[in-house]
Amino acid sequence: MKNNSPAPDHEELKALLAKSFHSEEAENVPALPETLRDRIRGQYGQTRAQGQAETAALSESLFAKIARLFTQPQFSGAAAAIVLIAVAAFLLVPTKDDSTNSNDFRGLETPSSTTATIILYGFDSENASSIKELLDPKAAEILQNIAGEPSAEGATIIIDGKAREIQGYTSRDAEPIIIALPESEAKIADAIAKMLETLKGK
Amino acid sequence: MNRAGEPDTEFFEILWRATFRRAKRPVEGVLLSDEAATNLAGKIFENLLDRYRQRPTDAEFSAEAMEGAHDHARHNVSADRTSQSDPQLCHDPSDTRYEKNLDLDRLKKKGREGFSDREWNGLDPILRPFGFHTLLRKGLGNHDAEDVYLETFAELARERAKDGTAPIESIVVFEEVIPLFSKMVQFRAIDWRRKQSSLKNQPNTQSSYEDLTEREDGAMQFEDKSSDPDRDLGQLSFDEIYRQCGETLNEMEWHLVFTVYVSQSATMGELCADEDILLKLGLETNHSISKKRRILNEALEGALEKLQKCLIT
Repeated sequence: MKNNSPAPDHEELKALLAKSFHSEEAENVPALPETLRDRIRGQYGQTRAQGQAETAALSESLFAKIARLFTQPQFSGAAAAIVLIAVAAFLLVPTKDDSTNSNDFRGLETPSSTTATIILYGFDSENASSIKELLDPKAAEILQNIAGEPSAEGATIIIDGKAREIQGYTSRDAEPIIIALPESEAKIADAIAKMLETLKGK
Repeated sequence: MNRAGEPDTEFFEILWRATFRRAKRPVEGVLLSDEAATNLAGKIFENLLDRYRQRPTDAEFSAEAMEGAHDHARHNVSADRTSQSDPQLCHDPSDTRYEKNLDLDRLKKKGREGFSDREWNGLDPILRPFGFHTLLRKGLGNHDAEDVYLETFAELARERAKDGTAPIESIVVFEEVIPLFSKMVQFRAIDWRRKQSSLKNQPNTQSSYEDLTEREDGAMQFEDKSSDPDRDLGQLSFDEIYRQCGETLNEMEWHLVFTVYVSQSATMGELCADEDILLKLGLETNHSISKKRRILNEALEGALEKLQKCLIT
């Protein structure tokens, strides 16, 4: 396992760099005025309008957002694992009733299983480790043999490097949903997010 | 094209919030209203958009915005306090370090006999706890601390030979007198220690505080925050870091450091997928993600190392 983490004495510097832009204090910061946003967009041509940004943010899968967090160096593995499980849980919680007011969480039945097991199989060790790192070391496991899988309670996702596919199971006995494994390792997290959404819809 | 990549579409939103916060609290103890901070941040953005017809690097734009917020907010508060004759205007009500602000205009008022306004009588009770806290922490006994404290207090109002101004004239709002005085006291304490050891060993071979600050050529400003060897890095803001170390990193290194650690507008994964970044790091798109991350981490670590050295030296 390569040690890519910067020297410990940079932690103070990193915290210092982040401090200027990110406040821990809960302050009501007004939004960037529309006139300025328009001017920036017109002049530099890169920035989206807030509405567009929000739309894009909403259309981006929740898992993809979390997956982006996993790749941030300052986002610790342990925290990432908790978030991944929490997200998986959120996505897999069946809605009680589509017509139910989404703000009303009272009385929601707890499903018997709310997490997804993620298995990596059929990759060489370097690729497996890097994909695992990309997802999160504690949320995914590397197996040399997937005979008998899925074996865990609840949903399981098998990322099969040999067959170049991702198999999603809503339960141990369910038929798999199969999607192609992206060529780029960086896009695997997005594919997993899609699979989670698909499993949630089942 | 000034930027190495375009992974930061929300950059201006993030910078806006940071600029607003800086405008709202330019220094500890000063608090502007939301409305005043919003107006100021808006004007700063407009000025920068006028100045930079082509988009500069995010680090440059940010440093300018943050510095502008810091400067203008303080000067606006100062002007309002003067025009309304209210030194307490925009003072953070949650700041309980001392009872109330003194009138900085009166403290700065210079007569024939120098700074002799009666407002100075109120400054000693405010500064004494801060000065003694620092001096006792530096290991000076009560008696020595009293001497050093009084020397430093007098120094606040002593005109420097090089420009004829006194340290008290360098601050814009009263709240800045505490960090200014604390830094001066720290240097006085170091000077005191040097004097003690030189008396024991080789008398008269060390430069005194006065020698260093009053000499005609190369007089040192010990109250300047960048000259403080004991300064806490945690007190620096990004614009100060950028001003101090702008030349230390190249544009690519600033882009990486700024994107990942300052604005956090892109993740390592996104940077690894950015073709411009990969090209500049000597990577190709078909390299493995682990190799990309390793090279990117090395580049980032190298940049942080340089930055750290710059800030310490």
